[in-house]
Amino acid sequence: MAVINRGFGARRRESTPELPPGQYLTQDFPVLSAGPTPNIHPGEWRFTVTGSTGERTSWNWDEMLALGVEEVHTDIHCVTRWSKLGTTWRGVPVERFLDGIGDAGDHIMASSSGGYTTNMPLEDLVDGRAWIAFEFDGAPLEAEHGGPARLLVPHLYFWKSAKWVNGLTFMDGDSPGFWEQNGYHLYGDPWREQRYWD
Amino acid sequence: MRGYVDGNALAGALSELLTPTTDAGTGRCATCGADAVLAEAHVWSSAMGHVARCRGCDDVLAVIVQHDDRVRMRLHGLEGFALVERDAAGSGRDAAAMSAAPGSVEA
Amino acid sequence: MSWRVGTVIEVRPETPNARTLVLDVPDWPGNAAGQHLDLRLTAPDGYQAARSYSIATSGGPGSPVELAVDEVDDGEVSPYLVQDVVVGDQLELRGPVGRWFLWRETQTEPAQLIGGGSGCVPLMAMARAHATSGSTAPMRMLYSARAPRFVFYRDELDALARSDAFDLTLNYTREAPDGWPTAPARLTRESLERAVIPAAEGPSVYVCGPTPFVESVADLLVGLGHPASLVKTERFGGA
Repeated sequence: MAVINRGFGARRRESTPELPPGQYLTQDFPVLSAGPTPNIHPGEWRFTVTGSTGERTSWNWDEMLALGVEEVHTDIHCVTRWSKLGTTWRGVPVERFLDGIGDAGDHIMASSSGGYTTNMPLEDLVDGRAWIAFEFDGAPLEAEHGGPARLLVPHLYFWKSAKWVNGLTFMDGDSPGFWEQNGYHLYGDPWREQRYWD
Repeated sequence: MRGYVDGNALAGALSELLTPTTDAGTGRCATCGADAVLAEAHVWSSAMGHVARCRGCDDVLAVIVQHDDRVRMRLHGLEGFALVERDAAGSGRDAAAMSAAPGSVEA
Repeated sequence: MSWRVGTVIEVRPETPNARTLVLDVPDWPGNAAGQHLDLRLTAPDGYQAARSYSIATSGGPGSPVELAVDEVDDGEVSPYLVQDVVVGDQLELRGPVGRWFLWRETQTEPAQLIGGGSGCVPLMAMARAHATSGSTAPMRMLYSARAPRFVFYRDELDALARSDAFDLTLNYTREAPDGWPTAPARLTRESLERAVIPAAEGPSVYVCGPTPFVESVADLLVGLGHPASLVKTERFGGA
């Protein structure tokens, strides 16, 4: 039984009923990184969707914007227990990158500059559930928060919202990405508190 | 926490799994072949876990995740991982050597 | 190695932002100079956070366990330890940890300690062990701090420096005392060369502090001829 340190954590806000179980509210936007922050200029940015037989389609920054940009208001939940409510983003819905890619697999591996990966079912990236986001809080997304563009999948724990995203690869069946290989849940629903799989 | 610290930060988490304490763990980076003393690795630590990266090529040497009473470690980026027992004069002799087979050690 | 419970038996200020905590830890096995421990705090709702802190003391079983904590802006744990913890509070800890960044009294070669800010804490354990053991191995400490009020252990370091076997050089990076011979500045190749034991004397070098400080000093040392195998580093993060 752990010693309880009374008064520790008092600098956090109290949990509110609108939060998933085990979460607390923060006004910060903590930076959690598994490696160095890449330095990517929008002029060099590429995003590639790879089908299950290896066929690729790519977009540069302007081609991405031309797919149509939406404003997103959402809450985000980190598996490390902080939640941030009422965040504002601008980005392109992921399904716009998937038009015309036929029956390509039921799961996706998202990959990032620097080698990070994370997996999720295809259905969690469509129907208005996910974006490639490049603005946060009215300003260009900062590099330490995943800029110039990151995946935004707010209904799952935020490690699934891959920073510095550079592609999606279709898979037949699920396969664990970086943190998932290290014990984190394959799906990651905050409302069912799916933090770990072991 | 910003940036990285060094592998001395791994010692506490690793102590749950292996003795002697493994901040004196050695091996080679599986990607670039550089000697990779864990204490000198670039360790990116956050509440998600500790990610030890090779000083030379930045590829991942090891990942340690702790939650509740579990510590999970993968040494998938290290070849020839060995724990070196150091005496006061700093010379080493192998206390234990582990094969290069990738896998996870769990406690 | 499992978690033990220590009780805070003394607190004392070190600088305007830092304080020393002395812990009584039943069955403490003792620790070598340079080792650290992990502290784990648990909030009433079960939320936990853990941080590593260097131990400023060393000795055999039952020896005192002294930490010095520097409060980091926006930190989660250090403000609690510096502002809120009182004598009698219990803290969970695990240790001692570390087999690499150590000084032992059996070492006879010269020892050069280089610390930035709170990086002085494990080096202080080494300086104290050196004094207690009566070691005649030459030991020098180069301690870089923002300003005189941010120097930890000042009086004790001045007392240690009265010994022939221990030498202290202070470097200030933002504000220096009146009459200080040099303008405040970060350590450079020149200032380092003036202060440290020459490479030709084969010192074991210990560098500790924030990551950018340690990386920069380690590079300068290698440039001055110190073999990398004799330069041991411990880099601190924050919070």
